[in-house]
Amino acid sequence: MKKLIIPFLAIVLGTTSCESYLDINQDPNAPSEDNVTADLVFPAAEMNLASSYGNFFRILGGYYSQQYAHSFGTSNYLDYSQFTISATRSSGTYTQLTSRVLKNLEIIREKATESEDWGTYLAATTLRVFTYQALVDAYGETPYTEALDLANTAPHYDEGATVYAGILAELNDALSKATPSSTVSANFLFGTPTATEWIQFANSLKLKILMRVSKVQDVKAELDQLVAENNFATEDVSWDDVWTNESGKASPFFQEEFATYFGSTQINVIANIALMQTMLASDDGRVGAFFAKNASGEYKGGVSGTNFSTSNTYQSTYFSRPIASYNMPVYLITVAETEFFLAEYYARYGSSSDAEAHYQAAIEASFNTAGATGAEDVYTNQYPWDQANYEKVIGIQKWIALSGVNNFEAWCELRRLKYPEFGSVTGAQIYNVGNDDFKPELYVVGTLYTPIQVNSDLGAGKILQRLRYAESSTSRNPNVPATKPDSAPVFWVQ
Amino acid sequence: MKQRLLCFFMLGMLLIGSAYAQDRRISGRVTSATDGAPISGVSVLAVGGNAATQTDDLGTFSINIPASVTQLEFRFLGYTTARVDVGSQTMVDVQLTEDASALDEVVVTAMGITRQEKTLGYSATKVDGEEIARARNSNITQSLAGKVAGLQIQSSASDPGAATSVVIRGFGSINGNNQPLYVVDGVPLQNNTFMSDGRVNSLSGIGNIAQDDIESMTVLKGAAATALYGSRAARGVVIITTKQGSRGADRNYTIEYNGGVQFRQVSYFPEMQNEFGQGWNGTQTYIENGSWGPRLDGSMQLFGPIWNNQQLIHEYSARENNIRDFLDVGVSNNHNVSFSGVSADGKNTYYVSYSNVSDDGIMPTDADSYGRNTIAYRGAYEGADWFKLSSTVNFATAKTNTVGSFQGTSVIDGLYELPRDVSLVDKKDLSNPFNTPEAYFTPYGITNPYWSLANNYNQLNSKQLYGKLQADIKPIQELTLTYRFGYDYNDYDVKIGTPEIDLDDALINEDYGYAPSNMNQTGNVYARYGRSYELNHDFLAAYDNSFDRFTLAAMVGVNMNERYSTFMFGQTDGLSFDTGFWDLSNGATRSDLSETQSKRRLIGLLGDVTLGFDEMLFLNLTARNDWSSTLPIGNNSYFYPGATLSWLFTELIPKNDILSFGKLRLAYGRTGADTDPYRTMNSYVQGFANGYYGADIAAFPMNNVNAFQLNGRAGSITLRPEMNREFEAGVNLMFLNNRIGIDAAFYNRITSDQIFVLPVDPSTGFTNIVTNFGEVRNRGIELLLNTTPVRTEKIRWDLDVNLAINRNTVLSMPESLEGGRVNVHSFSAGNDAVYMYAEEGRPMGQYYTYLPKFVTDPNSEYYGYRIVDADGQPVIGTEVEDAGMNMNHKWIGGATTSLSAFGLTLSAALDVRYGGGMFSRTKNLMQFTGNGIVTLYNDRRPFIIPNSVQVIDDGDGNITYAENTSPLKLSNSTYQDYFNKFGWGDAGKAYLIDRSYAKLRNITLSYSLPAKWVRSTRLSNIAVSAFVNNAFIWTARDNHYIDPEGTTEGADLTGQFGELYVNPANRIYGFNVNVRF
Repeated sequence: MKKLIIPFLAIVLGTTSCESYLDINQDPNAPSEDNVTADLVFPAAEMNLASSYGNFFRILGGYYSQQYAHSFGTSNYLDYSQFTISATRSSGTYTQLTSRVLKNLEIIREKATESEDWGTYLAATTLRVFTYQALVDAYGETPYTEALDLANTAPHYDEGATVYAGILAELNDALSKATPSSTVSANFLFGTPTATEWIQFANSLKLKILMRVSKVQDVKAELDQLVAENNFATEDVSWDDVWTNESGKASPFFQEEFATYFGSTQINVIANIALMQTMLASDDGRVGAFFAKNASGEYKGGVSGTNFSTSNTYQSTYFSRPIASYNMPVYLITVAETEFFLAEYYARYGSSSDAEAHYQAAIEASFNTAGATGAEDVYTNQYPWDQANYEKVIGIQKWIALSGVNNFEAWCELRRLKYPEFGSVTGAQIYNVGNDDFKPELYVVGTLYTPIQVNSDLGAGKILQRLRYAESSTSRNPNVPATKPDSAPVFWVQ
Repeated sequence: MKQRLLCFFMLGMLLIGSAYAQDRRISGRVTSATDGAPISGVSVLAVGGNAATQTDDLGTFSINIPASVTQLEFRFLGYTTARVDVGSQTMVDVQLTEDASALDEVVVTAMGITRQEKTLGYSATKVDGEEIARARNSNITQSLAGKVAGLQIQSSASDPGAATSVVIRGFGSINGNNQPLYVVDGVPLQNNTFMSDGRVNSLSGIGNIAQDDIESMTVLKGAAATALYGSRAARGVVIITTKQGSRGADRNYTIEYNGGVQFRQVSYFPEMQNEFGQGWNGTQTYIENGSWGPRLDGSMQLFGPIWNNQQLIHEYSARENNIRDFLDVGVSNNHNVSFSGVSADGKNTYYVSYSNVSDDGIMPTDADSYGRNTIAYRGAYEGADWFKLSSTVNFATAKTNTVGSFQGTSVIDGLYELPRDVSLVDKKDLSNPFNTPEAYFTPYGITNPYWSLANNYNQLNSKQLYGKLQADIKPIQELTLTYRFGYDYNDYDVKIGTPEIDLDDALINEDYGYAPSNMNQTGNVYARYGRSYELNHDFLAAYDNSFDRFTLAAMVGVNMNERYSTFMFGQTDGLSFDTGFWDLSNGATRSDLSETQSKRRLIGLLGDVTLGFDEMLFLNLTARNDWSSTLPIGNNSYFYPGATLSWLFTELIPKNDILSFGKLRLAYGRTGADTDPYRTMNSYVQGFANGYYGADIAAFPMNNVNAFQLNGRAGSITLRPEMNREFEAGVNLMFLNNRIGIDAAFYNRITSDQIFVLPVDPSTGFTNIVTNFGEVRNRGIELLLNTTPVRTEKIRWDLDVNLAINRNTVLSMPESLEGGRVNVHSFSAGNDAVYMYAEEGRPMGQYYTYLPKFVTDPNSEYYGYRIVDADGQPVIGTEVEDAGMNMNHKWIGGATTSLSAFGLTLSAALDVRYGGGMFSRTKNLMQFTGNGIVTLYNDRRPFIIPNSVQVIDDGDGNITYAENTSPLKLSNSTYQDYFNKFGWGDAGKAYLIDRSYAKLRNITLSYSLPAKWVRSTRLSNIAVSAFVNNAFIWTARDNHYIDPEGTTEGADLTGQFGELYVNPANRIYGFNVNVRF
């Protein structure tokens, strides 16, 4: 029998070797490691960051800092407006920021290191540092020293201070390697081929990192040096002019909440009465830039902790929605933020007059970003510089300035500066769900209030301090620490 | 390639097509020696020639044989094979005696080898084609339901064209591929499906086989039985033998027509209340999509928005049949014509058939329909006694129109969220704005089902060409060399259209708080074109011989397999024409294009030896080694052996009438499996990012820049093949001259080293890694009881019962997973979530969800009470917990029976599934909308949750309880919240139901016209039948919602999860005619 089989085998296998016949397991639809370049990966990493930071983080930041409230009928973010976060809520965002943003930036950094392309290395490092800071600011702790290593599928979480120290060192190292004329691979953020603007962005970011820890660590020396260099971004760092009015190509917050690309639209996000009444009380010109008038041509804010679902009067057309457009920028750091940090720096370590100048410059910059007028009235008449209470004026103005720009940072700064403070009136007093009795007049300008139904694990009169560790991490990694209480502050809160 | 293929086959057909002159004709009649009754279906074979025929219903036959043939052989299951010398006779009457050592039946086993059933050491269940064709199911696998022990058949939906899931001996593969391999006449078929809008439709494979072409189906369950088929056979094999050319009653050809008409109607519907009407929290609202309003009182009431100063008005009373009235009776029909024959010299056989199926479902219009045409050709030419050439060519074309199951503007959501007082049948006129989204009575995401039917589009067209070319050469009598080329080519196109809704509310005078323009959607067109092929080359050498009391059957072979698939799809949004023009050019704002190709190859070397001793003891050894392109080079070879033993112990005891036949069998086998292509390395994909709700919120190219990012799934260069090990022991017994037969089996199958895409902490930089892990055991027993309680000359009653108990256990999971579990499928919306896990130590498919809290302190007087909050609402845990439900049935069984007398046959098939749970969005929806019967709890008057307590914490950690006194009432929204947010007190369990059911799959009454009437028409047989499919269904007592067979989540493991908006199940009434010439 063998005699007969062998010729058969010879026919089958003789012409080509078995090995090469089977060596076809290269995906024709996917480029491999060797094919891709930093130029090809960079924009993808950027858009992943924009889609999370400019969307999910923006929305929850707005709710947690009482800039946003929930509209009638729908309940998509009702839990946010009650200062609640579940482990599953942020899973997708955590996944995006780690596996898509950080990992792809890591690939760029590896390629840039190999080719000693230090401009690109700085750019990727700056976005990496920005992302890690946001992760710590949101979650308190995150894997860092053991992260991005597939050999270790159960990375330990690092303390926030460890991550901050690490990313600061990374930023310093990257800054030391790049020069303004270093070339940078193609990117959406600046579009220019050199590192000049990336260096400025990195310096602004460094200022943000140092100021964030400035109440719990002595970083005066580093700050002195950085401020003395005075090479900060002179324009808002944002993804601008890259958006098209199409699904998958428009600004992410607009796509998620305003566009009709994904089927029927729902009205979720509206202005919060706290922010709205505060701005209206000072006749702030930014109101119209940040929020739209309601159906009756008025500016109205909703109350945290309800969606007015049983109301006959306070329905979706009653409230003001944020202004959004397909080409709205996704801001990373605005000039106003830098100026506010400088004002705080001078108020703490320098002269009041320098502090006041930067405070005014910050408000001017904020109005400038908003395209509104009337900054001078705000800083001369409504909220003049007050060296004795510098954290309060900065806190309230920062809260307003960031409300239409960068709501996540507003939530961070609320936790750090602790202004605006909670007043004594509660959401339940402002609006009675049972009898549809709405008393906006009870709200005290420049304060926060306890939402109508508030996260019972957090309690009344408190800002949510952190996000619960994401389910996409906790359910797959045995080394995730026990989830901390919602009221446990991140390390930089004094 | 395709062209070359076609040429090849044309040649094959030409070779086989010629005819030869006849030699002589012999006819006669076959009866039973026991009672003299005619025996139909007896195989009549020319000994030493190739001619063959079968006896008809009167036991008569007619056969043309060459002059050289002097003997005829008569074979029939349960009877001794008889050889009769025919000499020069032209008439031969034969009596067959019942065979105590039955099971002489020949079954087709692996690689097309035929074996006598008695020699098999494993379980092989055969179902005759006649039984499969009886229910006239368009998809033949549905006809297997309840007929084979251990086979779990699940039709993914009752809708025309829906694919069926077939799982043999339980779910073993966590990665979700548990479907068997289908082999038609020795050729493996692809089994492609396409899923969209909650529907899985068949693209090719088993769904395209015409029922009337089937001679028989054999189910091979265990690893020892299937190992020769290689990697894809790890989940069992279904072997389909199609009809070959055969003679007619008194001529050398047969023409047969089989066809009929069917009527579908809805069979199962959620039970709804008829007491309360439109509204929310007990008050009437004009625009709600639910029945939480006041009690229906027959008064005249306005409803819906005010549009152009007009508003709808209707009587506020129950429209009890408002949904049922929307559905209609779907008329379906099927026709099959076959032409079959043998050339006069017996050297050529041929069979040609055409069949047409046209199904229409229960939705008005033919938006839910399925049409299929198949042409089948089989030919064989036996040029000499050492040479045979055979070929088959099958062509099928199918078209499926799907009415999707999804949340939003689907028909089903529009039906289920319709208040009980709103009539639907008067909303057909779509030129009336009140019947379109412009001014429909509710703007909350749902719409008029008539509008949905008219505007949503989902069509699938597919074509399949498959068959084989086979040459058998016998250089010596004992040796057969076979080369077989098998091919299966499939192409398809899919179009899915979602209409644009673009409202400006210009004519809305009052919207009552939520404007119709909130329904706006951009609309899109999705088009996908794909094709795939599979090629198989088999070289086999089979040797059969006997030496004294020993028999030897051996085979060695090589199998080369190549599979390729490709598709391209495009999608465009922002339609210029709102609806109806489903073309990619219709998009204004976006056009996405994407393509995929995938190719895999496999080489297998196989061997099989069966040693028989004294017609009593049979030892079978098999082995196969595969080399797969999908595994890492250098590690891509894997070997798996098998052994079976079969002992006919009744050969040792004297012949008796009590125990006529007995066989013990033992089998152990392994099967290996490879994985999908391109999983051995990391890759990059075109850049994209997701939002919270919207996927691909960023999609490159953007702003004229393209970008790539690392695929979140990490490949592995250390992948090993999956391995199944299975032990099986069984017994076959026949009693009382084969009137009672028992087939029992025990098996233990362990699936290990599963290749799985394992989710990992994204902090690693990846979301998933491809890896080997996990072990799943399926252990169970199967019982098959065949009885013939009555058998006389005129009356025969058969009753077969089968039962299978399978115990599934996940034996191991990777440590990196918290709690040792992995998510198989899940649902989450808002704060609700239901997960289906594979968890270590548990059966696969354990449901987890949020559960209400109870007092757990056994010392408390309130031990076991529900804990409620200050409002009196149940307190729900913050982590998902074991819901105490599992997807697996505790047992499944079936019964088939047939009673024949005086030409009438009454037959029925029952299918029973007991135990297990499933997810049901329909159940939850009935509570959410207030339409379900359960929402009448306490007549919607205030109530306090019975046996509930509130927690009192004194601040020092001392917890006491106080009787709850807070009533839930509609007036403060707590009554409705109790249903909507707290799952009727059950939290996430409000989505879970018992999946038990018993279905009378089919009941048929057929009548064969008396032969003398038939003969007068020159026909040889006329039979008519009437039947009902899914005649009755019994479900668990607390299932007021759905037929648990339905799913929207896929046709395999994920499909077991349950349903989101599955369309209602159907019952079918049918009438059929069979005419044979």
